[in-house]
Amino acid sequence: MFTATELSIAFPNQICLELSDRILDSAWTSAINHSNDAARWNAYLNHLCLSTLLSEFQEEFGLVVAPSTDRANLLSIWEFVNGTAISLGEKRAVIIPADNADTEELIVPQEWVDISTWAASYYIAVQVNPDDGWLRVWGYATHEQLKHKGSYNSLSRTYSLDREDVITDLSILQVSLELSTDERVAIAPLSVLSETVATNILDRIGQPTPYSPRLDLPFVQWGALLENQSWRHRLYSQRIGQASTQVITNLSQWLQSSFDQGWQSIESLFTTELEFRFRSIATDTAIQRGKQIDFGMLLAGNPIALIVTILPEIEAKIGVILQIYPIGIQDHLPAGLQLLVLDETGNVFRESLPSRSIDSQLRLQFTGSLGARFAAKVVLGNTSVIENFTIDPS
Amino acid sequence: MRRRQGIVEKFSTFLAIQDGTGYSTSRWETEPKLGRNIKIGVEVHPAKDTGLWAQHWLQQALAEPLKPLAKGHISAYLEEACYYIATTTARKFTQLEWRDCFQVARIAAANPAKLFKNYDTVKGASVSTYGQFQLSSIVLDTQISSGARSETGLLRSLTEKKLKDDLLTYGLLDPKLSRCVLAWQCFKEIYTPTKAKGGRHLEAPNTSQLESIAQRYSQLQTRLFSDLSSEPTMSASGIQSLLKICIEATRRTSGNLTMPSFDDPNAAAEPSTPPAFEALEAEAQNQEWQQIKEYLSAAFMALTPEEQIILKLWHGLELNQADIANILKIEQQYQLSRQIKRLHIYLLKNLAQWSTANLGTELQSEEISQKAKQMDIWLSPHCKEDIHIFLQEHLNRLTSVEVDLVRLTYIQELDLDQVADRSRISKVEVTSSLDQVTWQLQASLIQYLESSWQITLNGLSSTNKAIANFVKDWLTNSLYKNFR
Repeated sequence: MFTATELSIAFPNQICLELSDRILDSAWTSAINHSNDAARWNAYLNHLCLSTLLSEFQEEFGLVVAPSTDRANLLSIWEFVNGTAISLGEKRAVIIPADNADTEELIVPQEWVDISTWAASYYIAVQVNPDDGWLRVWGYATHEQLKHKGSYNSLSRTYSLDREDVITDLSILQVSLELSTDERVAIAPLSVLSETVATNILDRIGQPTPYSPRLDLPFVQWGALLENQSWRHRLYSQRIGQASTQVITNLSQWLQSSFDQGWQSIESLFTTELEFRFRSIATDTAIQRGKQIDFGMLLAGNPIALIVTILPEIEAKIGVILQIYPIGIQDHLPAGLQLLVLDETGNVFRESLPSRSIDSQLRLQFTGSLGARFAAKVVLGNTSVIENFTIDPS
Repeated sequence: MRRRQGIVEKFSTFLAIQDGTGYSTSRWETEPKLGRNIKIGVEVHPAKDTGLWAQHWLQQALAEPLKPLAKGHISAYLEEACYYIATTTARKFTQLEWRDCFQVARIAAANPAKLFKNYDTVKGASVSTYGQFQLSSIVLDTQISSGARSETGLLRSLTEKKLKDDLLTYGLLDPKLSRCVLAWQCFKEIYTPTKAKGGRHLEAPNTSQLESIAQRYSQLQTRLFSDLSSEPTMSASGIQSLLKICIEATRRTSGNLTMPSFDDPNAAAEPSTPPAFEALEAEAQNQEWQQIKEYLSAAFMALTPEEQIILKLWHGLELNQADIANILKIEQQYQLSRQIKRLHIYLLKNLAQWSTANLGTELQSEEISQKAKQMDIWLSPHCKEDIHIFLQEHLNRLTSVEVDLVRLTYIQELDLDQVADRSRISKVEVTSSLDQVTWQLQASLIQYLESSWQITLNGLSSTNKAIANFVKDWLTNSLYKNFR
């Protein structure tokens, strides 16, 4: 058996880390929210990588390294697909763990290659060996290599690259991070799914199976379904038996200063020095909270937040102001972003114009009565994120 | 182990290992078909050297992967490299058996199409250097997760590619091959460990799990087989027997150490392609490679003296990092390993940028990777150069008797009996004189390093051992090349 230290000697140009029993146990216990053993095992391996490699990459490459999405999204991805997207400075990479004893090939699920918002420049191959207590980053491949040199396996819907073609010296990754342009190549578009079609599919594949449903419909449909955060969350919840737990934020509770997880104060949402950007709606009774909207890597380096302001009015009505703000270093929104308000039947009843690259915010304002339900929908290209609200004092 | 002599032996013999109690002996055994083939070649082209022949056979083996003879010549040629890598790896990592390492290296050497897949992109590398680089990483890659596994644990530990290779080697053909792979895929999709640890000794799936796998198989087979009428209905026991075949195939292919054989009576005599030596010679003079070497030498010279010494101690003298840290008074070993990495990245980055400006190379990962391989191949010999020159010059200080002994032993590679016979002194005297020479070389090498690199070697036993190994390695592996 090899220890992580011996591995570091054997592979000086790779990264080998020890996985202590403590690390293993904590990853295992955090991987419980899955519908079957295979998904749980998948989440476990990915969690092991995420919990150990980020700080290591940060030190190794001298870049800011972060997961490209939040925990809820990660779980809903690991339920179906192997892999974890991260940002390495300005570039995007996907960590691909495998528990194989041999490294004859790097196998990347098609989702990470052919969904345009999921695709990355780099695919990082990690051999995870919980029994011997180590993991090893044994190489990487670029999107271009996978598409042009890799072989596509239509049965398992994976791209695989032979060991001989995988780049096994990580100092090359470091040089490439610095010198290379984006190593992504063009990919074919996916289907455009209507809400109705998506709902039909969700009904069909929402039942738990002992394996991922990823092979059970054509890829162009599956990819479109998976890419959409709210559909993916619905499928995930259905399969783990929480179909009814769609998250609805009750704004009435805000009046009692009770806020659900994820809704942050304005101060903590903006980094301090950027707070001036936000023009506060200054009345004594206004209550304001915000939440980062996750568009995956579509908005890499330019994160945005949905800010909700409520103003208690007379006759049991509440004034609602919805705003979209950039909360990163850039002080304007990405172009083409649109904010919509949907009523409880899903019809649009307010919409903003699409943002231009000079806009610093989007804003919609309306009055809601008690008992009302509505949703804020943020659209960017083919992707959208939905937040559901109710005003329910009961 | 005796080094092989001459072209014929190098391209037609394999190591035959005989086990005694507690030790084993080895000798070179000729594979008759290879022997005949290379003899004919050498008669026609007596003046061509080993490197050119290696290039020639590799070119043949890559052009027509089914030609057993070209493949055989390459794997015979790499046999010494396999042995060397196996023994050094097992010495470095004592949990490994050199025999297992040798076996793995040999299997890899027998498949040049795979081993040399990207050889043509690394201009300037000789067949043996490139082969050695590849072989040593393959040996480590396969050995680090070796060790006992249950049958089910073994099945889950495979990549699909490895499984397919094993099934093909086992002689399986379609449609059976596809059925096995599909059964395995469904197994892997569904059956995973249910504890944080214990994948190695995974228990076999139970009946209801096998039934789920069978159901999945029935769903997916519609996508695999166009004519389902000839496909059996899959059941739990059907899955079980397909998985059994996978296990058997995988176990079989990691078997015992055997000599390659070319005794297939059906194999027709191969029409031999006349070697295109002129083209190969021209290629060896590759302009680009010369430019890269010149650039790298200049970039190396531009490093600070201390940085140069770090690289020379690491890649040249091959000291371990703890010793280097000690010698250079670097407090923490990880600081040293970071420093070495930093220097590599620095040189690589400069080389990549220079290549873009001067050779029109793109700055994408693949191109940088090719440059990195060229740099790796250049770096170690470059860091050894000073020391080799010093040792070479030091030979002049030996007595004429000593020079004779060195010549007979290391250049003509005679065995002890023959050396004693030729030089008309007893075997004991030969041994003790040679020990004396080695000791002298070591002592003056230490002196030289301390004065010209301005370091103090501290007399650490591991450092002394590394220096002794360096001298020994130079005598056995480098000296004869310079005198040929």
